[in-house]
Amino acid sequence: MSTLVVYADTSDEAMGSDDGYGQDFDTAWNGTYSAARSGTGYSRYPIYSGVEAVGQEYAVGNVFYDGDDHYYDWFAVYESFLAFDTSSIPDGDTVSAAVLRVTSYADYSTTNFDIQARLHDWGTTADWVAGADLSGLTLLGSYATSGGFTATTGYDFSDTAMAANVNKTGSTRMLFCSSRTVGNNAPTTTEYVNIYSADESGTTRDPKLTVTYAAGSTEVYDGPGPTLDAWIIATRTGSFTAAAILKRTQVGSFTADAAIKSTVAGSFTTNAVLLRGQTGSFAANAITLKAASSSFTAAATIKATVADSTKADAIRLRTFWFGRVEDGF
Amino acid sequence: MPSPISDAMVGMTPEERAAYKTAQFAAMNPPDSLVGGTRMVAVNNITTVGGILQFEVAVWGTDGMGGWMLVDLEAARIAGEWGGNPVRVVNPPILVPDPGGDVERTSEDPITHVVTSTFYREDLDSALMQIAYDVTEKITLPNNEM
Repeated sequence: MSTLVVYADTSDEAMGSDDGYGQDFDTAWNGTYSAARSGTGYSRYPIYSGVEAVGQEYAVGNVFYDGDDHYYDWFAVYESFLAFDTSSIPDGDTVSAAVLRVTSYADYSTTNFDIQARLHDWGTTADWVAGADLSGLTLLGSYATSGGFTATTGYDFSDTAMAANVNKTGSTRMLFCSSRTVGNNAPTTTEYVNIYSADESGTTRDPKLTVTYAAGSTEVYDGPGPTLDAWIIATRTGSFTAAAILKRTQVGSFTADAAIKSTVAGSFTTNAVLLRGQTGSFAANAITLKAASSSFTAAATIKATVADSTKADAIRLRTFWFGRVEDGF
Repeated sequence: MPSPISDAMVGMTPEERAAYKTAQFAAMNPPDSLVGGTRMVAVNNITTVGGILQFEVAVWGTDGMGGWMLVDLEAARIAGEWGGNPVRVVNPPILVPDPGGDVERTSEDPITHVVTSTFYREDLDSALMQIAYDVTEKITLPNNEM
């Protein structure tokens, strides 16, 4: 097991989408939530403010602009985009846990919501993801602002599918959004939070992903009952089934399509077998034996010694004893 | 208060900055242990593996008699309380919050446009110890202290 702490790349971005401000200087500025949520409203813009913003907001009022008072009805939605370089995890290793932690910069969530982290490979330049499309992105984890979001305090996200989606060949990229944006719930006031973003020098408040992983392991069984396609073992005391096997000792029953054995103390069935010693009965379609002390049936066999009756469609023997029935050799 | 690493990284790409910071950590001597409440944390065996900063953590809890008791981190790993040693860090931070620090970072609220400043100091020892402290914070301590 190893622990990997990955601090966010400095390419992190935040974006806003708003509607209801400045469209027409001669009329009221009436925005709609649907336009802001979809990214088709007045503007979509990157936020170069040093913090990540997540959530949404509604405001209404008057603003003096261009010599006139203008009524505005304004909606804004915020998304943030983070990336963590997780490429140092070996491809064959298994990730068992991944915990995302962010540090609060400010909490303006007068209406609480879940900060959701959703899987989104935004490449190197983020672009707006329409609110209606958010639910189609895998939910990695979340944090409920109802639990508090005090400035300068770090908060862990729940791990819904974070560990399963850690990218071992590159960066793990994700998007932050509000559960209320996903649910198409229009804001009635402020409901957003600000999060410390990755600083170029790196600060202990930068977003970080703590990953627990272990080297890919080879499981070794010596108990009863495993079924394998292929196995090489020195000693086996329980029953098993294998498509192919290379064994030195076998004291329990087994079935194999092909086997090479030095000693067998129990019965077995095999389609092809190469044995040095055999003390129990068996059936084989093809066999090469050095010694056999009990009966067997083989469609084809090559033996060094036979001490009991045998029946074979084709056989080549070095020593002949009584009681064998042979179709020809 | 000098910031030699931050100054040296001006103009570097993110990848170059991460590599440069890692090299600075690898060259440092292990800092003194960090004591926080009922927990004491220390790091050792600082090195790099494949360009990634690596170190090992040791944790002590209070023994109830004014001393410290070493925590079995392997048992804590098996219990799922943390990921286990060694700890590796990608893109390690070098700045720690310090109201008296000379590294200023300004942030502007995207809505209110209020600009606020946060001050940091460049301090590899404290940054490393904070990482070690955070990564072991869920480990159960002797006497069930956290």
